[in-house]
Amino acid sequence: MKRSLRIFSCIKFFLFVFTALIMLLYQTGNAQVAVAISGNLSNIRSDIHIENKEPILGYDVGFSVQYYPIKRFERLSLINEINFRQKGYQQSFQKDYDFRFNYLSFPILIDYSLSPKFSVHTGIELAELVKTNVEGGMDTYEHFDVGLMFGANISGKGRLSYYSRLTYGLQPLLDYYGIDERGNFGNMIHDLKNICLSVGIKFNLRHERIQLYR
Amino acid sequence: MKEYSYIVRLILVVSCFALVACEGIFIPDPIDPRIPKYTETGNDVAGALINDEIWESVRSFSFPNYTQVSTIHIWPEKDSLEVCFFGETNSRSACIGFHLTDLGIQSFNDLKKLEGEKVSLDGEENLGYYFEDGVGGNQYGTGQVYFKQVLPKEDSGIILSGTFGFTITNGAHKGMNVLYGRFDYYIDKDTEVIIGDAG
Repeated sequence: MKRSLRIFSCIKFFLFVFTALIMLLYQTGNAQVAVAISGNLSNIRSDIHIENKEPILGYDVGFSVQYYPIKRFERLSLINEINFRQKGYQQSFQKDYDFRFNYLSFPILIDYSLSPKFSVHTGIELAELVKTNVEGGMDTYEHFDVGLMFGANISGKGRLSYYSRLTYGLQPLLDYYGIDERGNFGNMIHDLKNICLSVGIKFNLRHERIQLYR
Repeated sequence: MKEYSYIVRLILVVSCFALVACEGIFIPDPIDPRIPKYTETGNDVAGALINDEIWESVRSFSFPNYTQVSTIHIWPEKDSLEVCFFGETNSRSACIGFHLTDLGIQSFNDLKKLEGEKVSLDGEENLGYYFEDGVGGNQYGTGQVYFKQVLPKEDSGIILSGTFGFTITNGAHKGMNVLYGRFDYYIDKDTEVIIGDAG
Protein backbone atom coordinates (compact mmCIF):
# COMPACT_ATOMS: atom_id res chain seq x y z
CA MET A 1 0.00 0.00 0.00
CA LYS A 2 2.80 2.38 0.96
CA ARG A 3 4.64 1.48 -2.21
CA SER A 4 1.56 2.22 -4.34
CA LEU A 5 1.20 5.60 -2.66
CA ARG A 6 4.85 6.36 -3.29
CA ILE A 7 4.50 5.49 -6.98
CA PHE A 8 1.31 7.50 -7.27
CA SER A 9 2.98 10.50 -5.63
CA CYS A 10 5.99 10.17 -7.90
CA ILE A 11 3.84 10.00 -11.03
CA LYS A 12 1.75 12.94 -9.83
CA PHE A 13 4.92 14.96 -9.20
CA PHE A 14 6.34 14.29 -12.65
CA LEU A 15 3.00 15.00 -14.33
CA PHE A 16 2.77 18.27 -12.42
CA VAL A 17 6.31 19.32 -13.37
CA PHE A 18 5.78 18.33 -16.98
CA THR A 19 2.44 20.12 -17.30
CA ALA A 20 3.79 23.22 -15.54
CA LEU A 21 6.79 23.25 -17.84
CA ILE A 22 4.64 23.08 -20.97
CA MET A 23 2.33 25.84 -19.71
CA LEU A 24 5.24 28.06 -18.72
CA LEU A 25 6.98 27.62 -22.02
CA TYR A 26 3.82 28.25 -23.99
CA GLN A 27 3.45 31.48 -22.05
CA THR A 28 7.00 32.74 -22.28
CA GLY A 29 8.28 31.56 -25.58
CA ASN A 30 7.63 29.59 -28.69
CA ALA A 31 7.05 26.02 -27.77
CA GLN A 32 8.68 23.07 -29.43
CA VAL A 33 6.36 20.40 -28.19
CA ALA A 34 6.22 17.06 -29.97
CA VAL A 35 4.36 13.80 -29.98
CA ALA A 36 6.68 10.82 -30.30
CA ILE A 37 6.01 7.21 -31.20
CA SER A 38 8.56 4.47 -31.69
CA GLY A 39 9.13 0.77 -31.85
CA ASN A 40 11.80 -0.78 -29.71
CA LEU A 41 13.88 -3.89 -29.34
CA SER A 42 14.47 -4.62 -25.69
CA ASN A 43 16.27 -7.19 -23.61
CA ILE A 44 17.92 -7.53 -20.21
CA ARG A 45 21.50 -7.68 -19.05
CA SER A 46 22.31 -9.94 -16.13
CA ASP A 47 25.19 -11.29 -14.11
CA ILE A 48 23.36 -14.52 -13.40
CA HIS A 49 22.74 -16.92 -16.26
CA ILE A 50 19.28 -16.50 -17.74
CA GLU A 51 18.71 -19.46 -20.02
CA ASN A 52 17.56 -18.97 -23.64
CA LYS A 53 17.11 -15.23 -23.21
CA GLU A 54 15.94 -13.33 -26.30
CA PRO A 55 14.90 -9.75 -27.10
CA ILE A 56 11.30 -8.73 -27.72
CA LEU A 57 9.62 -5.96 -29.68
CA GLY A 58 7.93 -3.23 -27.69
CA TYR A 59 6.83 0.34 -28.19
CA ASP A 60 7.08 3.87 -26.79
CA VAL A 61 4.45 6.61 -26.99
CA GLY A 62 4.75 10.05 -25.46
CA PHE A 63 5.24 13.79 -25.50
CA SER A 64 8.41 15.84 -25.43
CA VAL A 65 9.30 19.45 -24.77
CA GLN A 66 12.56 20.87 -26.08
CA TYR A 67 13.92 24.22 -24.95
CA TYR A 68 17.11 26.24 -25.31
CA PRO A 69 18.20 27.58 -21.93
CA ILE A 70 21.54 29.30 -22.67
CA LYS A 71 21.97 32.09 -25.20
CA ARG A 72 25.71 31.54 -25.67
CA PHE A 73 25.16 27.90 -26.53
CA GLU A 74 22.39 27.95 -29.08
CA ARG A 75 23.21 24.48 -30.24
CA LEU A 76 22.52 23.14 -26.78
CA SER A 77 18.99 22.31 -25.67
CA LEU A 78 17.18 20.34 -23.00
CA ILE A 79 14.52 17.77 -23.70
CA ASN A 80 11.95 16.63 -21.14
CA GLU A 81 9.65 13.80 -22.04
CA ILE A 82 6.85 11.75 -20.64
CA ASN A 83 6.53 8.34 -22.29
CA PHE A 84 4.61 5.15 -21.93
CA ARG A 85 7.18 2.45 -22.69
CA GLN A 86 6.98 -1.27 -23.01
CA LYS A 87 10.24 -3.11 -22.41
CA GLY A 88 11.12 -6.67 -21.50
CA TYR A 89 12.53 -9.93 -22.78
CA GLN A 90 11.56 -13.51 -23.39
CA GLN A 91 12.86 -16.95 -22.59
CA SER A 92 12.31 -19.63 -25.22
CA PHE A 93 11.98 -23.24 -24.21
CA GLN A 94 9.32 -25.58 -25.61
CA LYS A 95 7.17 -22.49 -25.41
CA ASP A 96 8.03 -18.81 -25.17
CA TYR A 97 7.74 -16.98 -21.87
CA ASP A 98 7.28 -13.23 -22.38
CA PHE A 99 8.23 -10.80 -19.63
CA ARG A 100 6.76 -7.43 -20.58
CA PHE A 101 7.08 -4.39 -18.36
CA ASN A 102 5.09 -1.23 -19.00
CA TYR A 103 6.71 1.91 -17.65
CA LEU A 104 5.78 5.53 -17.32
CA SER A 105 9.11 7.13 -18.06
CA PHE A 106 10.50 10.63 -17.66
CA PRO A 107 13.69 11.15 -19.67
CA ILE A 108 15.73 14.30 -19.06
CA LEU A 109 18.10 14.81 -21.97
CA ILE A 110 20.74 17.25 -23.19
CA ASP A 111 20.65 17.69 -26.95
CA TYR A 112 23.47 19.10 -29.06
CA SER A 113 22.91 20.13 -32.69
CA LEU A 114 25.81 19.13 -34.92
CA SER A 115 24.00 20.68 -37.89
CA PRO A 116 20.57 22.22 -38.47
CA LYS A 117 19.29 18.79 -39.47
CA PHE A 118 21.14 16.51 -37.07
CA SER A 119 21.59 16.40 -33.33
CA VAL A 120 22.75 13.97 -30.68
CA HIS A 121 21.45 13.68 -27.14
CA THR A 122 22.20 11.99 -23.86
CA GLY A 123 20.70 11.96 -20.40
CA ILE A 124 18.89 9.88 -17.85
CA GLU A 125 15.57 8.15 -17.76
CA LEU A 126 13.54 7.83 -14.57
CA ALA A 127 10.75 5.30 -14.90
CA GLU A 128 8.01 3.73 -12.83
CA LEU A 129 6.71 0.26 -13.54
CA VAL A 130 2.94 0.56 -13.92
CA LYS A 131 2.01 -2.86 -15.26
CA THR A 132 3.45 -6.21 -16.28
CA ASN A 133 2.07 -9.30 -17.98
CA VAL A 134 3.80 -11.53 -15.39
CA GLU A 135 1.40 -13.09 -12.90
CA GLY A 136 2.17 -11.50 -9.54
CA GLY A 137 4.92 -9.54 -11.26
CA MET A 138 4.30 -6.28 -9.43
CA ASP A 139 5.49 -8.06 -6.27
CA THR A 140 8.47 -9.69 -7.98
CA TYR A 141 10.07 -6.76 -9.78
CA GLU A 142 11.35 -3.36 -8.70
CA HIS A 143 8.96 -0.56 -9.55
CA PHE A 144 11.55 2.16 -10.05
CA ASP A 145 14.04 2.08 -12.90
CA VAL A 146 16.89 4.39 -13.87
CA GLY A 147 18.76 4.30 -17.13
CA LEU A 148 21.24 6.19 -19.25
CA MET A 149 20.09 7.34 -22.66
CA PHE A 150 22.08 8.00 -25.80
CA GLY A 151 20.48 8.98 -29.10
CA ALA A 152 20.38 10.94 -32.30
CA ASN A 153 17.74 12.99 -34.07
CA ILE A 154 17.36 13.79 -37.78
CA SER A 155 14.96 16.53 -38.86
CA GLY A 156 12.71 15.50 -41.70
CA LYS A 157 10.28 17.39 -43.85
CA GLY A 158 8.02 19.90 -42.14
CA ARG A 159 7.16 18.96 -38.61
CA LEU A 160 8.52 15.44 -38.74
CA SER A 161 11.78 14.25 -37.32
CA TYR A 162 13.25 10.79 -36.79
CA TYR A 163 15.16 9.55 -33.81
CA SER A 164 16.95 6.56 -32.47
CA ARG A 165 17.81 5.99 -28.84
CA LEU A 166 19.57 3.45 -26.67
CA THR A 167 18.46 3.08 -23.06
CA TYR A 168 20.96 1.39 -20.77
CA GLY A 169 19.31 0.39 -17.50
CA LEU A 170 21.29 0.90 -14.29
CA GLN A 171 18.80 -0.29 -11.70
CA PRO A 172 18.37 -4.04 -11.01
CA LEU A 173 14.77 -5.08 -11.69
CA LEU A 174 14.82 -8.21 -9.65
CA ASP A 175 15.20 -8.89 -5.94
CA TYR A 176 14.86 -12.61 -5.53
CA TYR A 177 16.18 -15.58 -3.62
CA GLY A 178 19.28 -17.32 -4.91
CA ILE A 179 18.24 -20.98 -4.70
CA ASP A 180 20.59 -23.76 -5.75
CA GLU A 181 19.56 -27.02 -7.42
CA ARG A 182 19.18 -28.84 -4.09
CA GLY A 183 17.05 -26.07 -2.61
CA ASN A 184 19.59 -24.19 -0.47
CA PHE A 185 19.02 -20.47 -0.16
CA GLY A 186 22.05 -18.31 -0.87
CA ASN A 187 22.45 -14.56 -1.10
CA MET A 188 19.61 -12.48 -2.47
CA ILE A 189 19.89 -11.80 -6.20
CA HIS A 190 19.78 -8.15 -7.27
CA ASP A 191 20.00 -8.42 -11.01
CA LEU A 192 18.38 -8.03 -14.44
CA LYS A 193 18.82 -4.60 -16.01
CA ASN A 194 16.90 -3.26 -18.98
CA ILE A 195 18.53 -2.46 -22.30
CA CYS A 196 16.44 -1.05 -25.09
CA LEU A 197 16.97 0.34 -28.61
CA SER A 198 14.18 2.55 -29.98
CA VAL A 199 13.62 3.94 -33.47
CA GLY A 200 10.78 6.38 -33.95
CA ILE A 201 9.14 9.46 -35.33
CA LYS A 202 8.45 12.79 -33.68
CA PHE A 203 5.74 15.13 -34.84
CA ASN A 204 6.22 18.69 -33.66
CA LEU A 205 2.98 20.22 -32.46
CA ARG A 206 4.72 23.60 -32.18
CA HIS A 207 7.64 23.92 -34.48
CA GLU A 208 9.36 27.00 -33.12
CA ARG A 209 12.23 26.95 -30.70
CA ILE A 210 11.69 27.69 -27.07
CA GLN A 211 14.27 30.11 -25.73
CA LEU A 212 14.42 30.74 -22.02
CA TYR A 213 16.53 33.89 -22.47
CA ARG A 214 15.58 37.27 -23.97
CA MET B 1 -40.61 -18.80 -8.88
CA LYS B 2 -38.71 -15.61 -8.13
CA GLU B 3 -37.34 -17.15 -4.93
CA TYR B 4 -35.89 -20.06 -6.91
CA SER B 5 -34.12 -17.70 -9.30
CA TYR B 6 -32.47 -16.00 -6.31
CA ILE B 7 -31.33 -19.38 -5.00
CA VAL B 8 -29.91 -20.30 -8.43
CA ARG B 9 -28.05 -16.99 -8.57
CA LEU B 10 -26.74 -17.51 -5.07
CA ILE B 11 -25.44 -20.97 -5.99
CA LEU B 12 -23.76 -19.53 -9.09
CA VAL B 13 -22.08 -16.78 -7.07
CA VAL B 14 -20.90 -19.23 -4.39
CA SER B 15 -19.60 -21.57 -7.09
CA CYS B 16 -17.67 -18.72 -8.70
CA PHE B 17 -16.09 -17.83 -5.37
CA ALA B 18 -15.22 -21.48 -4.76
CA LEU B 19 -13.61 -21.65 -8.22
CA VAL B 20 -11.47 -18.62 -7.53
CA ALA B 21 -10.59 -19.79 -4.03
CA CYS B 22 -9.37 -23.25 -4.95
CA GLU B 23 -7.29 -22.65 -8.07
CA GLY B 24 -3.55 -22.84 -7.68
CA ILE B 25 -1.63 -19.72 -8.64
CA PHE B 26 1.37 -20.41 -10.85
CA ILE B 27 3.72 -17.42 -10.72
CA PRO B 28 6.64 -18.14 -13.07
CA ASP B 29 10.07 -18.15 -11.53
CA PRO B 30 11.90 -15.03 -12.72
CA ILE B 31 15.02 -17.04 -13.53
CA ASP B 32 13.46 -20.20 -14.95
CA PRO B 33 9.80 -19.52 -15.83
CA ARG B 34 9.06 -23.20 -16.41
CA ILE B 35 8.89 -23.75 -12.67
CA PRO B 36 6.94 -21.68 -10.12
CA LYS B 37 8.52 -18.84 -8.24
CA TYR B 38 9.34 -19.66 -4.62
CA THR B 39 6.50 -18.24 -2.53
CA GLU B 40 5.16 -18.66 1.02
CA THR B 41 1.54 -17.68 0.51
CA GLY B 42 -0.24 -21.00 -0.02
CA ASN B 43 -0.46 -20.72 -3.79
CA ASP B 44 -1.14 -24.47 -4.04
CA VAL B 45 1.61 -24.98 -6.54
CA ALA B 46 4.88 -26.87 -6.84
CA GLY B 47 7.42 -27.57 -9.56
CA ALA B 48 10.79 -29.11 -10.31
CA LEU B 49 13.10 -30.02 -13.14
CA ILE B 50 13.14 -33.78 -13.72
CA ASN B 51 16.21 -34.30 -15.87
CA ASP B 52 15.21 -32.07 -18.83
CA GLU B 53 11.46 -32.22 -18.21
CA ILE B 54 9.20 -30.14 -16.03
CA TRP B 55 7.18 -31.59 -13.20
CA GLU B 56 4.36 -29.28 -12.20
CA SER B 57 1.67 -29.48 -9.56
CA VAL B 58 -1.09 -26.87 -9.59
CA ARG B 59 -4.37 -27.32 -7.78
CA SER B 60 -7.26 -27.10 -10.22
CA PHE B 61 -10.96 -27.06 -9.56
CA SER B 62 -13.82 -28.64 -11.47
CA PHE B 63 -17.12 -28.50 -9.60
CA PRO B 64 -17.86 -30.38 -7.36
CA ASN B 65 -14.33 -31.78 -6.97
CA TYR B 66 -10.90 -30.32 -6.77
CA THR B 67 -7.65 -32.07 -7.52
CA GLN B 68 -5.70 -33.24 -4.52
CA VAL B 69 -2.16 -31.95 -4.87
CA SER B 70 -0.67 -32.97 -1.56
CA THR B 71 -1.06 -35.34 1.38
CA ILE B 72 0.80 -35.77 4.62
CA HIS B 73 0.63 -39.16 6.29
CA ILE B 74 1.83 -39.30 9.90
CA TRP B 75 2.66 -42.54 11.76
CA PRO B 76 3.03 -41.41 15.40
CA GLU B 77 4.11 -44.82 16.71
CA LYS B 78 7.00 -44.98 14.22
CA ASP B 79 7.83 -41.28 14.42
CA SER B 80 7.73 -41.09 10.66
CA LEU B 81 5.81 -39.20 8.05
CA GLU B 82 5.31 -39.23 4.32
CA VAL B 83 4.79 -36.05 2.34
CA CYS B 84 3.44 -36.51 -1.20
CA PHE B 85 2.97 -33.92 -3.93
CA PHE B 86 0.85 -34.90 -6.93
CA GLY B 87 1.34 -33.38 -10.36
CA GLU B 88 2.26 -34.04 -13.96
CA THR B 89 5.40 -34.44 -16.03
CA ASN B 90 4.61 -33.68 -19.66
CA SER B 91 0.95 -34.58 -19.08
CA ARG B 92 1.89 -37.86 -17.42
CA SER B 93 0.61 -38.31 -13.89
CA ALA B 94 3.57 -38.04 -11.53
CA CYS B 95 4.11 -37.84 -7.80
CA ILE B 96 7.07 -36.63 -5.78
CA GLY B 97 7.33 -37.73 -2.17
CA PHE B 98 9.49 -37.92 0.90
CA HIS B 99 9.61 -40.51 3.65
CA LEU B 100 11.00 -38.87 6.78
CA THR B 101 11.73 -40.18 10.27
CA ASP B 102 12.78 -38.96 13.73
CA LEU B 103 11.33 -35.48 13.37
CA GLY B 104 9.05 -35.78 16.41
CA ILE B 105 5.84 -35.39 14.42
CA GLN B 106 2.99 -37.08 16.28
CA SER B 107 0.01 -35.01 15.24
CA PHE B 108 -1.17 -32.31 12.89
CA ASN B 109 -0.16 -29.60 15.35
CA ASP B 110 3.39 -31.02 15.43
CA LEU B 111 3.82 -30.12 11.75
CA LYS B 112 4.83 -26.67 12.96
CA LYS B 113 8.06 -28.34 14.14
CA LEU B 114 9.02 -28.77 10.50
CA GLU B 115 9.59 -25.03 10.10
CA GLY B 116 13.19 -24.38 9.19
CA GLU B 117 14.00 -28.12 9.02
CA LYS B 118 16.49 -28.92 6.31
CA VAL B 119 16.27 -32.69 6.12
CA SER B 120 19.15 -34.49 4.49
CA LEU B 121 17.85 -37.40 2.43
CA ASP B 122 20.33 -40.20 3.03
CA GLY B 123 18.38 -42.82 1.08
CA GLU B 124 17.87 -44.93 4.20
CA GLU B 125 16.11 -43.24 7.13
CA ASN B 126 15.02 -40.29 5.05
CA LEU B 127 14.48 -40.60 1.35
CA GLY B 128 12.89 -39.00 -1.67
CA TYR B 129 10.99 -40.77 -4.46
CA TYR B 130 9.32 -40.17 -7.79
CA PHE B 131 6.45 -42.13 -9.30
CA GLU B 132 5.27 -41.66 -12.87
CA ASP B 133 2.02 -43.30 -14.01
CA GLY B 134 2.31 -45.47 -10.91
CA VAL B 135 5.79 -46.72 -11.88
CA GLY B 136 8.56 -46.27 -9.38
CA GLY B 137 9.00 -49.22 -7.04
CA ASN B 138 11.17 -48.93 -3.96
CA GLN B 139 13.38 -45.91 -4.37
CA TYR B 140 16.05 -44.35 -2.25
CA GLY B 141 16.47 -40.80 -3.44
CA THR B 142 19.31 -38.90 -1.82
CA GLY B 143 19.50 -35.15 -1.50
CA GLN B 144 17.55 -32.67 0.56
CA VAL B 145 14.11 -31.34 1.42
CA TYR B 146 13.82 -27.99 3.17
CA PHE B 147 10.63 -26.95 4.97
CA LYS B 148 11.41 -23.26 5.01
CA GLN B 149 8.09 -22.07 6.37
CA VAL B 150 5.17 -23.74 8.13
CA LEU B 151 2.42 -21.25 8.81
CA PRO B 152 -0.66 -22.40 10.77
CA LYS B 153 -3.91 -20.84 9.59
CA GLU B 154 -6.95 -20.13 11.71
CA ASP B 155 -9.19 -22.32 9.57
CA SER B 156 -7.59 -25.67 10.54
CA GLY B 157 -4.92 -25.74 7.89
CA ILE B 158 -1.29 -24.84 7.36
CA ILE B 159 0.74 -23.26 4.61
CA LEU B 160 3.72 -25.45 3.89
CA SER B 161 6.48 -23.90 1.78
CA GLY B 162 9.93 -25.10 0.90
CA THR B 163 12.38 -26.53 -1.57
CA PHE B 164 13.85 -29.88 -2.53
CA GLY B 165 16.39 -31.55 -4.75
CA PHE B 166 17.46 -35.17 -4.91
CA THR B 167 18.83 -37.93 -7.09
CA ILE B 168 17.28 -41.37 -7.38
CA THR B 169 19.93 -43.99 -6.90
CA ASN B 170 18.06 -47.20 -7.72
CA GLY B 171 14.97 -48.74 -9.32
CA ALA B 172 13.06 -47.78 -12.44
CA HIS B 173 14.13 -44.14 -12.27
CA LYS B 174 17.76 -44.74 -11.34
CA GLY B 175 19.95 -41.75 -12.12
CA MET B 176 17.02 -39.37 -12.33
CA ASN B 177 17.72 -35.88 -10.98
CA VAL B 178 14.89 -33.99 -9.33
CA LEU B 179 16.27 -30.46 -9.10
CA TYR B 180 15.22 -26.90 -8.28
CA GLY B 181 12.09 -28.22 -6.56
CA ARG B 182 9.85 -25.83 -4.67
CA PHE B 183 6.39 -26.11 -3.12
CA ASP B 184 3.85 -23.78 -1.59
CA TYR B 185 0.68 -25.59 -0.49
CA TYR B 186 -2.25 -24.93 1.73
CA ILE B 187 -2.67 -28.22 3.61
CA ASP B 188 -6.15 -28.88 4.95
CA LYS B 189 -6.15 -30.73 8.27
CA ASP B 190 -9.32 -32.71 7.54
CA THR B 191 -8.75 -33.79 3.96
CA GLU B 192 -5.01 -33.80 3.39
CA VAL B 193 -3.52 -35.05 6.63
CA ILE B 194 -3.81 -38.71 7.66
CA ILE B 195 -2.81 -39.90 11.13
CA GLY B 196 -1.85 -43.55 11.66
CA ASP B 197 -2.77 -46.56 9.56
CA ALA B 198 -6.53 -45.95 9.80
CA GLY B 199 -6.29 -43.33 7.05
